[in-house]
Amino acid sequence: MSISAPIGALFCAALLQAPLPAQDPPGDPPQRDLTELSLEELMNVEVVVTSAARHETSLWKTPAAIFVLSADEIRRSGATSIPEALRGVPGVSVARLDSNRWAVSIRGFNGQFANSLLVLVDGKSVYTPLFSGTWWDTLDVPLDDIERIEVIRGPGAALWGANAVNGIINIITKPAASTQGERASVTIGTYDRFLGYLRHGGELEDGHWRAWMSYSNHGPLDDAAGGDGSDEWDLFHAGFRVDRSLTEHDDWTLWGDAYNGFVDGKVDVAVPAPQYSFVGAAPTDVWGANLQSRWTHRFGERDEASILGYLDHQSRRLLVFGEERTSAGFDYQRRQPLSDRQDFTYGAALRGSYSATEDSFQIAWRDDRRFDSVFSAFAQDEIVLEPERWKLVAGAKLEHDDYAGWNLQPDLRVLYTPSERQTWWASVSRAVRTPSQAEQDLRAVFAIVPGAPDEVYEYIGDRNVEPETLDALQLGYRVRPSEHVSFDATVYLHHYSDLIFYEPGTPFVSGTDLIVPLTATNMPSANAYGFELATEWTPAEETRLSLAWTAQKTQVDPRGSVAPDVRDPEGKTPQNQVRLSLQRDFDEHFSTQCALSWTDRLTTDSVPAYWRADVSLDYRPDAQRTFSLGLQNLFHDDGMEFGPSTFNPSNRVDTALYLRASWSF
Amino acid sequence: MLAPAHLTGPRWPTSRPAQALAWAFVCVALLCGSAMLGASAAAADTPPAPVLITTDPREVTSAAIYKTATYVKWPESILGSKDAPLRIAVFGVDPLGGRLDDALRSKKLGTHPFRALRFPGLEDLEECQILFVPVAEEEQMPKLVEHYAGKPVLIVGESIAAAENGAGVALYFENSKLHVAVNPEVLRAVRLELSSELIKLARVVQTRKKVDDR
Repeated sequence: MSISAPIGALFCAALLQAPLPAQDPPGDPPQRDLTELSLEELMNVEVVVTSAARHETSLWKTPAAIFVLSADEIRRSGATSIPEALRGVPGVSVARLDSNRWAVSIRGFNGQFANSLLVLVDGKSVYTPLFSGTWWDTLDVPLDDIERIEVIRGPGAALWGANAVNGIINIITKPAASTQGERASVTIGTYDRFLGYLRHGGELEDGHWRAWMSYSNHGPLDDAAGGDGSDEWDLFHAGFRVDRSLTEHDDWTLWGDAYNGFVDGKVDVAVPAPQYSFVGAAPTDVWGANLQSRWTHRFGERDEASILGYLDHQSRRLLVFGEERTSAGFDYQRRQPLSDRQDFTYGAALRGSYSATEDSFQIAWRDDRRFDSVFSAFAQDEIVLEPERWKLVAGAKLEHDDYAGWNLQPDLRVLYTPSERQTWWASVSRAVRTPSQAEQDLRAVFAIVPGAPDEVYEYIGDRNVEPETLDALQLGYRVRPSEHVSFDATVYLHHYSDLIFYEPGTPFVSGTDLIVPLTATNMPSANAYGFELATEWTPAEETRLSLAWTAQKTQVDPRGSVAPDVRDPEGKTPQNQVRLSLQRDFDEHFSTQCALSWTDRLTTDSVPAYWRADVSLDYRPDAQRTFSLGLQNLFHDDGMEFGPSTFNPSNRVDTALYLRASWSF
Repeated sequence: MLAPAHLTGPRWPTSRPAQALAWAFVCVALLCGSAMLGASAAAADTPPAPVLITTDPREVTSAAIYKTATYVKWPESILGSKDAPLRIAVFGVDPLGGRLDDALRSKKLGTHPFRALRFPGLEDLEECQILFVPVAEEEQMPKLVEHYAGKPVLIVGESIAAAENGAGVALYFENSKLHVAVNPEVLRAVRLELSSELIKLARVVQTRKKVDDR
């Protein structure tokens, strides 16, 4: 990573040249400073959450299993990436496979290519149709710019569409008005060798803007045998955002970013004689750029329309695989009150995605060019049956995909608030997961057994596979017995049908080889059920304790399926996860967060249960500067969090130490 | 075996769907561009600030307590010497955590810095200029009013009921937004005056008569 030194020097120089803070702070504090607002503006600040209803609503009265990770909690957690920050969200399973790959899922089906979770940034989907999942290494939204991360467990397909099956993660960035002035931050650590971030925010005649750049360089972890894991990586990233109030009723936002990086890794290679199989180096070049624009028009109170347009290009090239993907789309949404008691939201979206893939000695794509388009329309009605008591939310999404055809995804929710301190909710929903491009088009050799002839084991995609369906039943209860204690509990039952598994087919001879195919087939069904509990207790001023417990179990009904599948929903998700976290402000300068978590064993690959602790200590000498010391992954030094995935070995996760300095000026 | 490797570098779309996508690119670029141009033309009037959102009402309350302090016309005799702090205390168990300290950090009212204090119980009450009484402690309101009777201390509550029972100002939430209530009768009794800017935004309430006042 030859560029790391000059970029590191650039960041350090920028930080050193920053003016010393005056006694009276002239600039904006690190986070949004509400005290800068007038009282009238303060009275307009909304306490809200967006993802569950697609428009803003109060968290306590949302009929969904929702959790919001605030900017303050992200900062206190000491996380240095989005997947690491998600460890603090009840019900989310996060396992690190190596330095640059994570398995992240909700309610089971975890894996590097987990495909039942929809990830959005500011309402725009960042999933790749290639494997219906997320490339976590390039999802590099600066943590300093994140206002909150909303996580919904369970299906949200009626609003967000296909692939919002087991959950939604919506990352919401701060408006440009909240990131005024300059900010710089530098992290140096044993694993995160260097993370640098620079931002400038300014005013326009009718709005605000910001521009930022970041550079990160991460060291390697050890492989399973204790050798070099060859998984170091770096990423250069820059972006901007402009928010303008065009008229009293119109807001317009334009934002975009571009990145370029190098991600090292290893790949299990299967080749003909004489080697047959070996672990090869898989250095990957990644780059991408995207541009989004959203226009919002307010007709009146609770009455608004918005249109989002976006362009996105991603490139990923390594020895055994290459892809250039370009996507573009529009998303229109209108919210309209039908009466005092009814809020109607509807919209339509169109997305096109063009992918150019490359074959190699190990994989082949059915077509090396492919265009996919998805059209969808949704409608949702929120009806207040009895004010402050009963609310009904009914919605459905109709979606058309070139390969999966038409799908209807309905959703019905009821909310009951017997008192200000209690909320009950229940929901019945259907969601579909459309087959990924890999499940339809990819042929990949995963093993060659020497013989005469050689037996070549191949995964073979099939264009005839149908979407998977989830029918979900959920029941939730929230209660605040006192001002200091709150409980949020959810039980769920998920029934999956037509799961896409790779089933053995009839072997056939090709050239001098005997091909043993495993073909993508809709075969088994599965039932998953679980319990999720999140509690919070503030026993004394400036002390907050939270405890989260997630218990889940998935049972596959094979229905003729004979092979244990690569997704293996039964064995790749921990049945129990417990996390206890303590936040404490010692005084106005010192604060800490300690989190202790226990993750159950994974039966697949015999990954044992493990304890893990993360500790961070912040020192804020004044409103401009913060110095942090973090210790990550105590108690589980050099431990594995997940088994190898289909084509990549996993590495051991080290205990890591870092120091961070942040400065607003 | 599968096709041999042919890593040939990026290849760009030539098919019809790909051309459609190229058009989509152009459309989005035009949308962005026209919005930017339109914006310049439409920017003549100063529009209101964008609506801000937060997930933490405690941040809003903390900022509002600070703001309230700046809307009181404090007599110099109350604050004392030039650099004497303006003392804002939280009574009982503090629901705001460190957020009040964050809101007051580095702030000044004229030459007076702010200081955040905590009075955990009735026996801990000391001199202050503003006493914030969280909703969980409202039962203690009569005793607090009695303790500070005749002194220029502004009691700030968290509900309409608090303003009706002795708090001069109440900062409360309704429909996910902050609202302000003032009780002029209480303010007169403690000889404090609020700026008209605050009164304009506030709901005015009256002291609730006790049953034995009849």
